[in-house]
Amino acid sequence: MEIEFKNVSYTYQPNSPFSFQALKEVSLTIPTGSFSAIVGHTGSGKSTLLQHLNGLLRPTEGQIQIGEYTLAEKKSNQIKELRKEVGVVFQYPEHQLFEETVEKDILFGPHNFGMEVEKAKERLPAILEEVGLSEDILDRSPFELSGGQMRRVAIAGVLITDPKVLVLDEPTAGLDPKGRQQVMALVEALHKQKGITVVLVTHHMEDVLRYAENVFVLSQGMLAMEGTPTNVFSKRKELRALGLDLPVEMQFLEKLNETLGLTIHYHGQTAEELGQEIAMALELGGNQ
Amino acid sequence: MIHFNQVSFAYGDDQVDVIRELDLSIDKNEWVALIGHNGSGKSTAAKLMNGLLLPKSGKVTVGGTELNEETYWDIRKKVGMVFQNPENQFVGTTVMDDVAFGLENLGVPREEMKERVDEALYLVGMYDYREHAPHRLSGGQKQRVAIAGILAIMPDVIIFDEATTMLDPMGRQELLKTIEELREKQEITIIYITHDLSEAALADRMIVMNQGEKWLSGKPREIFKQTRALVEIGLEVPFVTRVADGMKQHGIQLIEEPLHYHELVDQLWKLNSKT
Repeated sequence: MEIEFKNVSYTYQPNSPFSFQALKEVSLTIPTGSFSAIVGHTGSGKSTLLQHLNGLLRPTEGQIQIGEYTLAEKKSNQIKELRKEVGVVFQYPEHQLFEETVEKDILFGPHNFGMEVEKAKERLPAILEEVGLSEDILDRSPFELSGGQMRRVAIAGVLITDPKVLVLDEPTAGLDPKGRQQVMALVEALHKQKGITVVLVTHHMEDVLRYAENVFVLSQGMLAMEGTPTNVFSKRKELRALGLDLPVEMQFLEKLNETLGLTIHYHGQTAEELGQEIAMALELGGNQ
Repeated sequence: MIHFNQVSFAYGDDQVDVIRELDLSIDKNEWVALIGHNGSGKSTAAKLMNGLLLPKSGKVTVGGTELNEETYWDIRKKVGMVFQNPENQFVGTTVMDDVAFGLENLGVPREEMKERVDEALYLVGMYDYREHAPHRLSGGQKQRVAIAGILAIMPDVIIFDEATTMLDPMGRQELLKTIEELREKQEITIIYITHDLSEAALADRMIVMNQGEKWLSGKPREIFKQTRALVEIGLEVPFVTRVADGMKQHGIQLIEEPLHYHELVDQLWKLNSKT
């Protein structure tokens, strides 16, 4: 499902002394089936943009086309339909788990959207398998789970309505490294195997480099840069002016190439492979 | 400053021990990073250091005072704690009021209170924001105000319990820099809980927790050499360590284990200019 922002602006509390414009004439296209990342420092408008993707906020100017749905200033009666298609996992989703059992929590969405809960129930085993949880978890209280498990329950609760688009706001915040790696691997698998469109809001430039196909950089409510990660990260001065840094891989290579006069480029090597490549490059330089 | 002697702790009588016969010794003015995956016991250990929890068995002493039901209020004054979520720590309508809150509770006289609040705000570089409303600050600024609130009470130890987790990269840098500067300006013992090894690298010493026990302890450079052990207990080996491992596999001998990629580049430059 393609998502298109056409000159979208959003102002909080318009016509009041507290009026604040959080998005300014943003135009962008997120292609169907893509893995897109949205980055920008705190207060750049990321969360405001994200809340437009499933109609939690409506543009005060401009419009958004999501598949066949149009979002504009005027209220739409298609919001519930849209929310089935665009699943949003908010930051710290475990703060939104509230049912007595994991099963009830996952089925909250279908229930709320007036879908047939029995049919949704039939989908549970498949969904659990997708997110890597076993079925015996269904009867447990969501509060007994580990951080990583709670995130997966939250993702399952979104997947149950079979959305075409999965939006994730900092899905790994607060997890330990293992939990982080597992959640990112899950998102990548959903994208690759189901062809689901993924929109990832993140501070982790390393994840952008590793997983995303497109990246949109927001600054002060405006779209400041866009392109492939490699492309955007090659404009380091521009990026730093926006208060953002390169992924650690590229920071390191930049300094290394500059200091030692090498020309090693990043093309998805692991850290260990990079080490070997550098070792080889230096030995050649030194021995001749 | 802080000693644990065979300390065990469980969250209920019928629960398994989350801290098991732990021995620890933290010196005055030392900066110790406590690391481990979620559930390794690191946060529980921290709560035993400032009397938020009392040991089931064994002995905890802080600055020579043994922690028990009679002493935990005194110990909490000596050991301040900065938590993960900067939003949950505010009570005042201005930054100044907020920092003063702890002092009011202690019944400190007005004049002295003002001095201590100003001093604490200077120390964390937030004096210019003293009249601001806390909720309008950035995440990093909020955490610095939280630190000031603790400094005003003049503790001997500050514990940071995953205090950078909810901050963006700039906020993280800001907080770490504040700690470094604070250490230059005054005597303070820092306990820094994290699962980010690159942040832990700034400490004088790292203690790695696993399943309620002390798994490894040593200088960051020593710990970083044990990459396999770290992976085994679910921690992520820092990027620079993995690059260095790749080089070692290729026969390059590094002078010392790099803690940061700058150090690695400097070493390579030296090695390269010798040949």
